[in-house]
Amino acid sequence: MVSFQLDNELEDFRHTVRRLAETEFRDKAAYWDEHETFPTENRDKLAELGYLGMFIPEEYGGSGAEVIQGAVFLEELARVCFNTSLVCQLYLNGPARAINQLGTDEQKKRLLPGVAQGKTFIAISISEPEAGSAVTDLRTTAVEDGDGWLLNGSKCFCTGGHVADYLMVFARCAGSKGAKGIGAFIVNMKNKGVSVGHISKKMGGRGLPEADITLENYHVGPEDVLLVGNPESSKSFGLLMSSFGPERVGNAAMCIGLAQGAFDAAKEYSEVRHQFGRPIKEFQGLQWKIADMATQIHAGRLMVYRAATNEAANGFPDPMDATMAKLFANEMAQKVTNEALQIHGHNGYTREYPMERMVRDARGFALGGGTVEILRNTIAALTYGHSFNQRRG
Amino acid sequence: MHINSLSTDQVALQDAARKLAQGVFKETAARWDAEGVYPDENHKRLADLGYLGMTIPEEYGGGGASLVDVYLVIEEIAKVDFNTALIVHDQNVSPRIIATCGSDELKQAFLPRFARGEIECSIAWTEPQAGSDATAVTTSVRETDGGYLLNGGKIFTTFGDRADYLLVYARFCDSKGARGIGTVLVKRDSPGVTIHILEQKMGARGCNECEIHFDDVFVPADHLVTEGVAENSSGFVKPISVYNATRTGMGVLALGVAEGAFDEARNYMKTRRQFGKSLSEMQGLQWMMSDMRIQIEAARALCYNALSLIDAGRPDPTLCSIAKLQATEMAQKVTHDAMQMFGGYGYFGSLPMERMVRDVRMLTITGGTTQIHKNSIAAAIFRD
Repeated sequence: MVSFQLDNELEDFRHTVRRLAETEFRDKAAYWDEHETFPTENRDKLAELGYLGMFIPEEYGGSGAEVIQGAVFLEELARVCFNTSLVCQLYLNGPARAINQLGTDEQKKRLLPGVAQGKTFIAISISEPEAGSAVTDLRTTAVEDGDGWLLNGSKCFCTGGHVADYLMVFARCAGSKGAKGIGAFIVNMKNKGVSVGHISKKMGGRGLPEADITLENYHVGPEDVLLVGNPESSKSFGLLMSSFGPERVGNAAMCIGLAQGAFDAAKEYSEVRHQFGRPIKEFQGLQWKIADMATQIHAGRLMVYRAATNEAANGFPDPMDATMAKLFANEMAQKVTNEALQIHGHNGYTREYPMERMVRDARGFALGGGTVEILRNTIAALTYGHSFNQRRG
Repeated sequence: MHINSLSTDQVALQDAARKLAQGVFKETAARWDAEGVYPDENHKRLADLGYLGMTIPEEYGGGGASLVDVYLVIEEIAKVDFNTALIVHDQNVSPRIIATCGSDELKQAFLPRFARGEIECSIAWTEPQAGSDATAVTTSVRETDGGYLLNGGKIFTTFGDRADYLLVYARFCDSKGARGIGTVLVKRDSPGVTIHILEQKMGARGCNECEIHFDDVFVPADHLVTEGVAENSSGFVKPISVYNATRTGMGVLALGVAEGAFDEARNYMKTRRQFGKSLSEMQGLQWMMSDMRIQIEAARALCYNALSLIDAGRPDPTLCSIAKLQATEMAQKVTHDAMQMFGGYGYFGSLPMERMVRDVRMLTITGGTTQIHKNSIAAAIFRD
């Protein structure tokens, strides 16, 4: 018998997080957006409560939770304060997960307890100006230098790079091409050779801007090599990418939360707002809109929970499930937040209500962490059982 | 009139507007949004060039232009700068209502000043409890010695903070619905008028929206535009029938922004390379662009058809609603899809894409929400 319900323990957990978000994070949700400020106090609060180490094993100071618990957690935060959920997504599903999966015992001991305590923020640095969707076109190089490596290159869209303590940087060994030869290195922002450039102002997710990063003869000691690339093999790149499977699930879970938050607000507004002498919820057209939104959110949520609980052989979420969940949830959140704004009429377009912020926040999902077009490539490849060469004329 | 067979004069008008938009307005467009500042310098230039009084009849010093003419101009400006396009759009609305509904005296007194760009006027119609339910207006006007006394409050009055005059919809007697509603012209700095600028909004951030209160504001008798009477709704219907053109105009504003976004995407796709080829060579993206182009052409045909019928003296409110709805919904989709072509870059303020998405979002709300237009279209379908 298949169960489509969360167990009681997870439902209790959801209520705890929802209460926390409502009482502690709702009032200032607009603030982080308006002032483009990192929600430090929320991060500290969540660290204190032990949530940031949720996926880190107990021996390194975390609580070793399952992917589904993280999904529920991010969903409930995003329902109220998207910027706070975005920060948590990086703590939970960002580099800490890759380090835990691929790092040495020494690296885990040194880095993971700080992440669990919220004291260490590690950002991901993969994208480059000419390597966006075509991620394996990245040009940042890692050249052997005595007992370590020298990194050189320019990165962009490094989310939170300007406030990070460390970066996890993707770089390729000299002379390699495509997915072959790509590896990952830990870069300490206090060291020489790494600098933060332009910090981009974006449409949404404004509490966590994105930074350009320049690496100029940055020396990586052997202790900070996460995974060396081999010019003859794409195995390292494959391992790194699969460690980001839970990130897709987290991304999709935030979409569900954002859509649910907008939906809840629209439902409430339609009950109190009167036009033509009655609450606007009395209008059939509006009822149908609400029904469509509820259905879409429900479908998205089931897909996310399925992806979160359906592990492939390597212990990561099934790639097809995770990719479909992200694609559906990304586009659903855009549509649902936009309809919720519409139900608010002109009030929804003003900053006195959170609707326009939610629409702006939702828009980034279809672009970051794999555009929805690239996700479609992946789904097609999994459907046909082989990938298609996007380089062919 | 067919949009692909414009007259020589119209082509010249369109070219001039395009040069002005691309050569002058494009460069500063991001500033009005980023700083939330009114594009004063553009306003002055537009007034000098006669674009602000284009549709005012020649006998009152205006350009006597058709609606199709003025919207050809607005479309070109909207391609690069929504805030500035909104100025031309708005400054051609109130004078048209006065020209169509006002007394000779009123026209003589005001239209030449509008035409010279000396004064501006905003429409003050929406109230906190009269949004989609537009005839639920409670602002009241009562006769007094030498004129009227105005009391009540308005919300979302665009440019209300800078307009010299407000064209106010108000109730002339104890009536319900459209009956008894009329319009008066109110000097903004009259005693008893207070204006509060509303907090920043999602888009159109160069143009302020205001909350306005009227506390025993005296309106001289000769500032009446249409009188509200208890027996019928003529005082409301007359200005609204002029306003139908404005709704269609919002479709053209949306059309312009969509075309601007489409052009940006097209240019980018030809130069941006991923997977060793330009984005323009990828079939999935080609199909998205084809769909966008189809939607743009459909909206253009609908809008200019509805406008040309008004110009020809055969206005069709249903076709106006259809054009407004289709073009504004289209622009939401097209600006999003155009932004999508830029990948991560599109989400950032250094490119115009995210601004265009935010700007067009208001157009399915203002001038009658999409849902209210569906009501009107449905009413027309089932009217025998």
